[in-house]
Amino acid sequence: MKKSEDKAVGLPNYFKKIGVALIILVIVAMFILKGLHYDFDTIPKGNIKTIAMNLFILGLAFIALAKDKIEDEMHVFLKLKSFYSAFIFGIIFTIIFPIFDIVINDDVQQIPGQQLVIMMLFSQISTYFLLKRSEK
Amino acid sequence: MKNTLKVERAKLNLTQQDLADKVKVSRQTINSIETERYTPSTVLALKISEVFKTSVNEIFILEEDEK
Repeated sequence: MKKSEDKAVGLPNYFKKIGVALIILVIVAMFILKGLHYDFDTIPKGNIKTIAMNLFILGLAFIALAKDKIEDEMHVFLKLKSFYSAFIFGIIFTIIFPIFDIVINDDVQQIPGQQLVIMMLFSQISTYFLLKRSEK
Repeated sequence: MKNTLKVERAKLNLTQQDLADKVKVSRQTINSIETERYTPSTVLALKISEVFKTSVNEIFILEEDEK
């Protein structure tokens, strides 16, 4: 029986703290850079934005993938439910986004991949949090 | 699926937390099982029955439409 019990997938719990720290760090760094009127000419502005977005995604992913302190079978089940709902959210977003674009801009633009991943991760984290609260 | 977890717990004077500690799950999981919002796995059902020294069938009972 022991083998199947050890199969719980996910990063160690401390990755949640690393994720939160990473997100705070990115937000603070962006505010500081903006406050200092950072010369974006030395490093292209797009690069900094991309790096910041990627670190933000990494932070969210750490929070989403880290195990709880007590990760039992019900928590794994709730996590599965939340990932399922995030995936559906991603599909709906992908379908709806071009429709909004047509209505507002009269032109269909490509969905930014980073934006989609961030929204899916936010959806997973918030759904999991709500599901866990409803079980208390 | 119905269960007699609350009754069995009361017989042994165990809190949800005590039972959760014994079967190594969270208190929320025990609460969800008691309120029939979550159906435990076979392994967890066997662990719970072991705590109460009774058979799984006596604690977890299938409802008519599940038979």
